[in-house]
Amino acid sequence: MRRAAIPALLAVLVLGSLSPARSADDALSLWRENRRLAAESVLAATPKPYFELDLEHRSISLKTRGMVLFELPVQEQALWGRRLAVGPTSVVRRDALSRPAVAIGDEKNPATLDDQLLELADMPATYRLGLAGDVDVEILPVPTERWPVLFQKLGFGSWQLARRQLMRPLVTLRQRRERHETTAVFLVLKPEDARRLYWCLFEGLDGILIPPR
Amino acid sequence: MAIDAGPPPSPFTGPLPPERHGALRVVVRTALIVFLVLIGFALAGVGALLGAGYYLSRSGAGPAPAAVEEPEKLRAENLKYAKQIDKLRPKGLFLVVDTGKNRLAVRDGEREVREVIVSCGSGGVLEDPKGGRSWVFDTPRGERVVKSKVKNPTWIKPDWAFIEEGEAIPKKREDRAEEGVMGDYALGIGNGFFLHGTLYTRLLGRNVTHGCVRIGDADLEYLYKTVPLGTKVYLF
Repeated sequence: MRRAAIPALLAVLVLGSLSPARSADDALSLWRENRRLAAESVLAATPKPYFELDLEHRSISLKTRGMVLFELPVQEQALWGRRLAVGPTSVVRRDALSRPAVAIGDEKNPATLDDQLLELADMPATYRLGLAGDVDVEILPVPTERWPVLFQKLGFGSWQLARRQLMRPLVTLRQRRERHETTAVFLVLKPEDARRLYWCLFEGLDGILIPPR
Repeated sequence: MAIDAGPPPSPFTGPLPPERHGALRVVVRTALIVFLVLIGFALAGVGALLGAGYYLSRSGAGPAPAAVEEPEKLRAENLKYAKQIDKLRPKGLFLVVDTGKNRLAVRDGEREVREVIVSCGSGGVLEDPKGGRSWVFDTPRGERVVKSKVKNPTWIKPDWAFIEEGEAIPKKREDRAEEGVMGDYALGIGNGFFLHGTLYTRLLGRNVTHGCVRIGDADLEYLYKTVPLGTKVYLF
């Protein structure tokens, strides 16, 4: 009888010690879900599509009226700077080194059909999205060249991301000194997914930001 | 007797005057200090990366809930929001147009009934050299409704169609009419945008239109017969 009572007592003690942590975790989950649903209920009431940048589950989705239009997996991600909260946001800026544009051509060099069309393949795979609330999202493609691929295969992840990770603390330092801290989010996507996202996330589009726990 | 001293020594040849030595030393020292400071910053970065301290903190979960004192209230609120969103979710038959992939999906609730290859807007820009107007040939994004269904539609050419072809804009409406270019059927989704047929079926799947959604003959007939007026169209 005594032998059986000791493990049972231990189990009760262990479970008892875990339950406050668990309930705090549940409370946090409830709170986060509450903020997400509150933001989505507003956005889904409009006829515009909206995006959901879910850094907890590493995915980006485009939605309309509560329906998922597509969902893209994030291959790698990193966050730096000011902490974020679950809530609404919007795309305020979309910058790419080379913005896709239609070529008109002239009499000597008439533009071909391909030059005159803007298609998914013409979209950039590396670009920045400025989100409301001083959040800079940098989209990077999964490497395709030989050395970066080798770097990734050795388990170091994306070379472009590693380079940015190395430099970002300096930016944080400068921003702390200037008392204006922003958040940097680095997302590595498959190149075709990055292009698709550029196509759909235009300036002015509203969305929901879900940071990791 | 005057002695010709010759031209003054070139500033680029011969030993530097003593004051230049001094200036060079200052430049080298400054460069060295800047270099060392940069190395220091880089090391600080590496340190932060290795988790040496959270001074250069990574962004995390965000503010913790200050007071989640009433979880039951939160649960009830979450349920209310979820119901609200579910009510807004499209039900019955509706169309989804992916303008990037040039695909139109006919959906019945969660189920995809048919996928159709289409052509959407080219993103081209046309400027009117005389009037100063301009057009961007994008397919509109967002939610629309099938407002009209037409058999054997006639295209009433808008101004840009004449400007594009370098022709004068006619004053009479009947001079704008063109038969047989929109296929056998057209479904109007408002603001002059249509889902219609095409003569250029080999370009289906590419972004070639002036904003309308072009569809092949068989698929267009299917849509005309299946999709009732008032059907929602979601374009993204």
